[in-house]
Amino acid sequence: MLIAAIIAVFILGYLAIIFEHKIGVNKATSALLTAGLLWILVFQTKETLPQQHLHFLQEELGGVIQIVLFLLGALAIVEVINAHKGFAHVSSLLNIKSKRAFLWVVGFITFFLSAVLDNLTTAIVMISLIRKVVHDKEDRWLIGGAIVIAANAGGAWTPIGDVTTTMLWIGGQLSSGAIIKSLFLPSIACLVLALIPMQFFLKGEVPEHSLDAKGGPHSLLILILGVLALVSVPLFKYLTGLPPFMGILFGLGLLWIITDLLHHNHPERHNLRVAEVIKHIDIPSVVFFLGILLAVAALQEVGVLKAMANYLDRTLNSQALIAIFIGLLSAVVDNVPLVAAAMGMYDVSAYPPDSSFWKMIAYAAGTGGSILIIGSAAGVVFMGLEKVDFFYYLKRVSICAAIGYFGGFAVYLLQQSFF
Amino acid sequence: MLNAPVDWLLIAICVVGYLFIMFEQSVKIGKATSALLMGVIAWIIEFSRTKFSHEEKSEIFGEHLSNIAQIIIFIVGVLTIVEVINSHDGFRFIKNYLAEKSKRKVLWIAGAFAFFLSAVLGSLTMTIVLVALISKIAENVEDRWIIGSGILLAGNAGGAFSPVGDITSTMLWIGEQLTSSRMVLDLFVPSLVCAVIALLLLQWRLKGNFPSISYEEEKISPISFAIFCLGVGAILLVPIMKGLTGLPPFMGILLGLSVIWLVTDLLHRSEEKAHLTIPRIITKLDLRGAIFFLGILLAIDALQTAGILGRLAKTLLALAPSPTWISLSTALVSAVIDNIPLTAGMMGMFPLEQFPTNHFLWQLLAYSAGVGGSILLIGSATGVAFMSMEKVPLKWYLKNISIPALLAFVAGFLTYKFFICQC
Repeated sequence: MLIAAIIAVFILGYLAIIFEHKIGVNKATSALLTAGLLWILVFQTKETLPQQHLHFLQEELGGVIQIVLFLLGALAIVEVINAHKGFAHVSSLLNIKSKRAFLWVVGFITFFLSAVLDNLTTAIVMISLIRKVVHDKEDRWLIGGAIVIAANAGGAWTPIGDVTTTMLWIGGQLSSGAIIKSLFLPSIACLVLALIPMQFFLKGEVPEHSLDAKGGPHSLLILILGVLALVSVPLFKYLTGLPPFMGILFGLGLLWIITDLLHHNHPERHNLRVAEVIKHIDIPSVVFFLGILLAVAALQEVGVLKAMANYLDRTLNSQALIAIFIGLLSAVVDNVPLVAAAMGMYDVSAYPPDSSFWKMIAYAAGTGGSILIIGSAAGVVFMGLEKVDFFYYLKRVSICAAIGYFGGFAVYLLQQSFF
Repeated sequence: MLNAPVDWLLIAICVVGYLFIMFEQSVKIGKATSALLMGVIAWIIEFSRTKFSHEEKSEIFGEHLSNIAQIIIFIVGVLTIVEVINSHDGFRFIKNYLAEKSKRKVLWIAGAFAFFLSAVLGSLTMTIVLVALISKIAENVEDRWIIGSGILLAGNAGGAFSPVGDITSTMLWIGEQLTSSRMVLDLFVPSLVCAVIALLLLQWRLKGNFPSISYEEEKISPISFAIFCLGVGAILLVPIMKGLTGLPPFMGILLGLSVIWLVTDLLHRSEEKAHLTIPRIITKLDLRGAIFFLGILLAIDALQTAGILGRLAKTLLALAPSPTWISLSTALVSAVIDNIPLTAGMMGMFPLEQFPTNHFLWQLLAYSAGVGGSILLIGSATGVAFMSMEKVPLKWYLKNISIPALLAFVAGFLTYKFFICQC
């Protein structure tokens, strides 16, 4: 009964988010409300004392809050660069006239960045960058869609590029050599096949006026420092063992001191200091993200997602079909619990390490999420930051993402039969 | 005992960080920045020890972070709700109650509002709201300062007995050092005594009436008042929900916030009222407070993980005749240093196994950290806000208010000692 109520609340919340503009309720509200109600229901399913309930939520919160803090830190750094008009330099560096060429360049940068950084970080960094560089809304949404696809595809083929791939790697289902060797071609095919149809939506050249703009005081310095702070996160993690968000906060702290020292003698540059700049951070999108993460954590806590994976297993009997379905399912709900469930269901003795099944799961769960905007963390962040309509993405991007997804899968199967 | 150089390095970082925070004005670096860097660097140093494996590191860290996050989300949630009420002019109805001629009566009414509203909406925000209202009523600077000080003392006392009234009380509540029911039951009377004594001592300094200005009764729109009630209800529901369903405070406040968000979204659909919706209101929040808090708690947690706080606690317990003295001395210390790191430090020093939930050490700590800060003007965040709003000189406060504040604190403490707990 309670489980049914939990699923019903989740679906209602989901619909409220999708139809945000029709019902006139901010999607952050819906996400937050859904999360709160779900957790109340989850607590009713537990038979322990109320005092111990906290424990269930606490475990989830630790992970959720790291992502939120990372998002906040990255947004703050990007805002600082923006306040200094640092992105003027990027525009002039890129200096690509054709919108289509721009799409390809952004797609490939994202793809390779995401192989090193996780998808979410890459998406946050790239989307915040194009927000300041591309001024036409429609163009930006389309390029943002490409970033989501590229970030997900780029994460799938390296052990550190995506949470689900990392899980399979740490769990011993895949070795890093095998992941890179057998998934690189499918992943890049997934991106290329998605970008080919997508480019036809873009026409003409990037308008001149978006390329001029002079940088403010110390803009180049701040740009370099800010981008360094963002990109050196993996290095920070490797050296200190601290989670990525601490790296971002460290970078933000340093940037803060530097800007304070640079500007404290110039009262007219008050608006360039971090204390002022952080007021422009888009908090509702952070709240939206917090709500979604907490809601999915609630579903995971009661085992709904695991039950779904079990059902799939019973009804489908081909490995490839199961993998394809897990990918499609991951477009609707988060891929982390799905992969966790798959790892729990299929023993390593039945499917030995580096067997084809695990590779397919890694590819499918990594890239299938791009098909709906709400299906991957990168997409959710895109939705929050850019106020992208669910249906816009469905109309323009989903088809391209699906072409890429299935195309990449075909490439994988071909590659398996040849080697 | 502190033989590892890493320990000394860690302590040095925290001391230097704290000095930067204290002398924020002269070093020209905001205290949020210093706190943030202090917290991150402290953990870099702590994790540079080789004794941790990679998995242990993320486990240790995840646990600390989850606790910190709960408090921060809760506080940001409360601040947002208060800001929503404020944007809807939800506090203006108080002004009608303050339209009295006698100065003493105004002091008592303002004090009563400060005491009770602080318990729900937090002492810092209520002091700011009430002092702003008083400054429109009292023309004379001296009167304004005295009534403002009354608000400050009563507000800090009101915040001390309620789990949602003051950041330090909230920390002790979310950390499970105190439960909400016992906190209210045991600390309400001492806090009330403290506030009443403080107002009694202050009223002798006010004489006569305000020059008669025709107060026009302000019309309060039903929406403003409804939002006020909704906000207060949302905050009050948090401890109740925690007791009934076990929903942790940060989820409770997020739930309350989302309901208010929904209501305001539906109320203000037209473009000209868009400034009253939460996405716009949220941009007015000062995130620096939250960042400062994050940095401080990270640093304290690093000290705790290193075992430095535990050793400090042992030394303190060996020196002090009883835990009562430790709590009492925190009151005096909290008049000088910020009470957030102080409380966080105490929470890290004394484990719950030794001092279980609702132990008198924690109750006294909540009371002392909340009220003790009033003794000096810079001893509490509330005081600092009052100082900057009304340009109150530190010396004036020390000469006129510190002694009544100290007496009121002692009176509340004696009430606690003799009537609530024989310790």
